[in-house]
Amino acid sequence: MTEASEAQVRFDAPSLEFVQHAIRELGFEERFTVTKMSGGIGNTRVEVYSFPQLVNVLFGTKWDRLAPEGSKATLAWVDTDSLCRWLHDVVGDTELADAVRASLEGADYFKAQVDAMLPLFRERVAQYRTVLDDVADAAPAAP
Amino acid sequence: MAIGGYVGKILYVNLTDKSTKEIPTADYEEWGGGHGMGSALFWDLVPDKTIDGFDPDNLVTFMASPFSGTLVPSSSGRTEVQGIGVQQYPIAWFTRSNFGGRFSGQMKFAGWDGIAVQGKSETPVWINVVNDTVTIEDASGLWGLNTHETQEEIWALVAGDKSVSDWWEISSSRDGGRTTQKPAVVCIGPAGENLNRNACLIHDAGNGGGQGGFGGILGAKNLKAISFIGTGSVPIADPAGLADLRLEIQDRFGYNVDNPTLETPVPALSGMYGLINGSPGYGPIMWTAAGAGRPQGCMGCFKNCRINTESGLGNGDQCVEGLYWSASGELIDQLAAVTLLDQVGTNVYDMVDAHPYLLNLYKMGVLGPGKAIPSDLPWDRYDSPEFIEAFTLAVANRTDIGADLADGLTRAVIKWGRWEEDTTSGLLPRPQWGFPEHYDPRLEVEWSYGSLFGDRDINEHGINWLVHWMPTVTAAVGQAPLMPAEELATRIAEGTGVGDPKGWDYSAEGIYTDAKAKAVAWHRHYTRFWKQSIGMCDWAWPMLINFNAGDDYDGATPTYEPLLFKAVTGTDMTWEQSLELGRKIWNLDRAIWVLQGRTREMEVYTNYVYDKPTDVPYFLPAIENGEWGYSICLGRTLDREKFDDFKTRFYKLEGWDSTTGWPTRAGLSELGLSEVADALDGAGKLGADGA
Repeated sequence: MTEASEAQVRFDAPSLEFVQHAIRELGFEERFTVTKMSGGIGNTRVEVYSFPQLVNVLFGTKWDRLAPEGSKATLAWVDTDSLCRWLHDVVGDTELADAVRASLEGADYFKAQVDAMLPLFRERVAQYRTVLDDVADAAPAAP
Repeated sequence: MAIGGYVGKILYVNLTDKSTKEIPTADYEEWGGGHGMGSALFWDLVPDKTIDGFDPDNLVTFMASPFSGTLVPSSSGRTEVQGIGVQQYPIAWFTRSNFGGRFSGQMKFAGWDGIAVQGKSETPVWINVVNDTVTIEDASGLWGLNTHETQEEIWALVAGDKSVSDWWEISSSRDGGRTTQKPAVVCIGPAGENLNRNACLIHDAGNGGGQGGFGGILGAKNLKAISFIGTGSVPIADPAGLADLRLEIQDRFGYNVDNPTLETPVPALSGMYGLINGSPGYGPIMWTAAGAGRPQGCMGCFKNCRINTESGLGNGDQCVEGLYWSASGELIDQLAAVTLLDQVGTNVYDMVDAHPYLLNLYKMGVLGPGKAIPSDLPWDRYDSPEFIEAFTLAVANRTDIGADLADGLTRAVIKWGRWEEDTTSGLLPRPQWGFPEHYDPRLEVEWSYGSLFGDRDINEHGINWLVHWMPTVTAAVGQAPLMPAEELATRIAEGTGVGDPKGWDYSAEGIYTDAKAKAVAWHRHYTRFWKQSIGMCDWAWPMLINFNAGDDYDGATPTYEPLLFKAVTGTDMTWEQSLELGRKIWNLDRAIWVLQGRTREMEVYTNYVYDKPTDVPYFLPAIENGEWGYSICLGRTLDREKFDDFKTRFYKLEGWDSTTGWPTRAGLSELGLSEVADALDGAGKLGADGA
């Protein structure tokens, strides 16, 4: 994705309830599978049990620091159709799901897919973070 | 007889009566070194091959090779470890492990080509070798220390308080010699002391001998550590020739950091791309995007695949151990986790798939406080450093769920009654002998067939870099493959000497052909000799194609192995002779497994390999619709009947009885192993000639 197209992406500001639902811990039947590919051990299936864990596995860094650090060097393969369905149906972020699906059109190899998805995840995670930080800031200080 | 490479004697230590003796290396020189010598020593010194791995009579060998401690590139630092294991299931086979670093080199500088340890001490001991002087020392002060603490204590005991560059006299005798080196120590941690079946050996920061459970085996012998320091050198038949060969190989095939031939097109993926261009420091593939460090390698290496990190954590951890746990997303947590694993001395390969599998059981409601599989570990904080620390310590110390896991994940899952279900569904992909899946057993079959016909996950990447990683990594970054599939298969076929490119056809039919059987057999014979007996590193050899080597991509194999052998030993050995010696060693191992109880019926995979189709892209060269290409290999399973037929033909190719898989008298005699045939005959396990 180019910077120009990245700048065109805008998500509605999420509510606290929306964010809490999206980042909740999931059950076994709600999990999503990512395949990590590495020279040391070949392919390993990683069962993902939350949106933050997905970001970590997919891009290789802690979810709330995705924007400043970028991705680490590994191949984390996902079935992109399944990923979009999972974001839509389980995480409940239909806007992100739709944006990811649109971004992946024509992105037919791993690097292109990461490049397409990363700005979208960065923007959405930043919005989630803002909501959570606002709540934390508003909380009364401990006595 | 060789005029170089060997230093003349092998150290035998009996821990029961504390006796030692020298075995002339010349008695075993016909086996090359390393694994070949270790198997032959085991055959000669362990009359009953059916004993348990924890039995005091089990012999554990730590063998160098003629290349150890020399200039041979990426071949100087490996140590081969053998003995009856305690890890595999259902039978813990006579097996092998191998670790890098500087242990075998230092062993040879002290004047020894290997050490064989038998018996059991009544109290904890460590073996201290300073040149020719061998002492068995009290280890009561070391027992309970972790692997790093143990080595630091031994360095202080042997070398005193010396800083890194200080010269010191290693003995009080005249001409005892001086060195700047610290002793090379291999040791066990708490996991080994607790007789864990997944306990490993650790040397220096992170060189691990993991497979087989040799940490627990040394624990059963009350042997905490072995230390070597020496001031001698290794005789070389043609020193100038060897130096020339090293420089030539480095120049032709090394990654030139100042002017690389093949650079990664995506800097953030330099770790993955290193699998095909071998850029220094590429090994720790999860760590390359964050955290400062510099490349580091084993003794004499010209590739230096590892990283010493700024934090000092994770040093020497080059391979799967770097992937132990990364759930927090913090690099420093990942490095701390693997460092703790090194310190307690647990084999990462038995644990790397354990905690994710157990997390699934927790999520399923099967595992946790008050559940069918009780555990009070903080599974609800799986992504926290506190979790992985608690988990790692529990396994090492046999507490909580670690009481079961210390016998290995496979035995634990069997105890819990989940093995059949979870290896059928693929929730726990462990295809053979209780080992985790490494490369896909339904597709990359010289790996899976070799593992099944052998004793463990083979962990041999020389073909894998070319057939799987080159097309996979280039596809991932949007490049065309660096070489067309037909040319790749043809050049491998020519380089190996097998001749038929269809040996490297991984199509749904190609994995059962006679050509494939020859390719699998070649792989077993090459690795048994050049890698495991001569110590050539798995991450460098065989070098059938090298993508750093200009436009022609020529590799060093098969030209350079015999040249290096000749330069070091002075002995002419043809490529064919080397493979035949590999076949001989492979057959001796096979005979030991047969005596332990190996049957044809046991050589099958768990159900998911046959029943669960592949669903992740996995690129391999294949002939599909009459054309060579790189297949994505989706929807594939291993066919039970076709594999069974393949097994029959593979047995015949190896000269084994096709109905039992047992070696025959004719086959063994042809290899000069008539006395092995006699032993099999005496046990009623000799295959029928011509069957």
